[in-house]
Amino acid sequence: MSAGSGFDLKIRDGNNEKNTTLPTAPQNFVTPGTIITREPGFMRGHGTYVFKDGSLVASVCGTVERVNKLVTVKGVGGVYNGEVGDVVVGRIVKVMQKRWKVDINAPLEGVLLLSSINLPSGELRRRSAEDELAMREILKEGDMISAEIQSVYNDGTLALHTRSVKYGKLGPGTLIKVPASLIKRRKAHIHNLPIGISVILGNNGYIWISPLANGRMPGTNMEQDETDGQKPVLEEIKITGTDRFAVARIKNCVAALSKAWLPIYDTSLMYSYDCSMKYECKELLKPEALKEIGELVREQMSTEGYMA
Amino acid sequence: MAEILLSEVEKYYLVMGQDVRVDGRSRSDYRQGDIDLNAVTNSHGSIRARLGETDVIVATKVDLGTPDPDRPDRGTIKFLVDCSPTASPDFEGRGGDELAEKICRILSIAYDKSGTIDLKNLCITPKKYCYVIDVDILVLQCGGNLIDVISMAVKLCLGICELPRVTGLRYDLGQGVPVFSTDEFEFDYLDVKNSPVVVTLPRVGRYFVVDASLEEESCSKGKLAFGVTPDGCVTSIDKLGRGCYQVKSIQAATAMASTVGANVNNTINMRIDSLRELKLRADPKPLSMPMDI
Repeated sequence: MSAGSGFDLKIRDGNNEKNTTLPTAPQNFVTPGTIITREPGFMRGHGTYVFKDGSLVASVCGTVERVNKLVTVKGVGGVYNGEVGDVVVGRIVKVMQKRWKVDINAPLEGVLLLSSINLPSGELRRRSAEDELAMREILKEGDMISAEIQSVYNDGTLALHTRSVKYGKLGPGTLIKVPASLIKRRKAHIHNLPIGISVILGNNGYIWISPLANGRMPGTNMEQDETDGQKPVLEEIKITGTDRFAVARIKNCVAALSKAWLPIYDTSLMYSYDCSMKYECKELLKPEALKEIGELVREQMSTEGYMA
Repeated sequence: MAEILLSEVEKYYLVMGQDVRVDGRSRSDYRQGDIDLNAVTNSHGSIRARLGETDVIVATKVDLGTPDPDRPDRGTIKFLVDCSPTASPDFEGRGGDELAEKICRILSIAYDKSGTIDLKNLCITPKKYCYVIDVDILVLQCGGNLIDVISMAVKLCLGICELPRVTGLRYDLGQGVPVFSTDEFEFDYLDVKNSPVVVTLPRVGRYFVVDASLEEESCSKGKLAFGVTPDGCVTSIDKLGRGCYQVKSIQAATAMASTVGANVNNTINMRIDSLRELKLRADPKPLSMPMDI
């Protein structure tokens, strides 16, 4: 056993840290308070407000987008604000009467109603009092779920549902958190990568990496009449060393993309995975390796015409 | 310490990892770290150390004091830990005090062992005057393995601590009070070569792991903290948290800590030499020293 191998404390030298290449800001970039237009007749969208003299002012940092008469500012950073249809990864934090409270990295905890999940037995029926008392057997505090946003309440609380086979309680795997703005809205968020690992890119910035298909715990969200009444057993799930290294590598690649402030989706993730193969998995933790992978992916994406 | 909520499946995935951890490290690998010199300008030496997500600042101040009556020929080193609420919500209000006291105790015991640091060098006049070194530790972020990072930063900080030389005595009512030199180049370094570094080994599943992350600590049943010198000698053992161990496990952990700790400690010794050189090359900052007039 190579004891304490790789232990290194670098002495930081302020001069070496100057950023040599900074990406240039896009043309329509605004900061809060920037006057977008003084002309009347424009409708204000997200990220803007009307000042008392009638001009349209930006309220967040981001790029100005205009669709006919509607002007919005698409924010660059900031907190996650969910929209209907978003796929999110969340952690159950409270079990309440007929609902669960879920931490989804939003200003308010998300709500998962008992009526918004598929019952473990797969039946379609009204939820009874017994179901309410047995809620902890389905999902308890700490459990990870993948879900879709069903609706947004008046106060901004997000209502979730897992009424589809691809959502539900997650099986063995690991979570990594990135800024929510790096996850772009795309058609699919649950990817089963060709390397045998599944990745769920939650719009809320929570990413679940798992060796299981769709990241899910088998046997916990069956379509009706598919279950054979067996409860899924955690101990019977076998995970090989190769799987673990693949999960770890993807986790480190996500960290590299996040550090380089690059959008994270299946293509950029696979690019970074390929670039990372020259390093051993644990070498990816080094800041030089992270930086290099970030630069390589940025180059590759700009030549292929993707947004960098 | 700061515990986070984890699901059963995450714990299962983590604990059954054998030698492949969640980020690809093996059980005896450390995360990446770096050191910043001169984080605090009005001290006799300061270090900011980061390992993974854990971030601490250590600063030393040297003062004139009276030796402990039980040890009249030695100086003293006092440790004070402040767990800032920014490090973890658990540390809000007085929440961090228990942990802070625990860490102080571990450091004091580790440094108390003779041979680690010669406190006799800190004595000026036996029974009357000695150097008192106050080591202040501020925890900025708790990302797992806090005690180890603190011990490394403390050793680095003591290694670059500048002890002002005594240039003479000032006579006050017949008593001779030592006067420190005001020349910023007249100082001595402490010999910290044999000072210990703490290696905390939490037990995750059936194995001990080095440099645990917050998630791994939340899955562990108890930890063993070892103070280890550069030649692999274990100066102290502390058990933290709940958990019981078989004698064989403790022996295995001691052996692991000894090898890992020796490696870490030797690296720290090399860094101290580099830092001392760096200080020589950089513009020396004026130090504010106690002036008793």
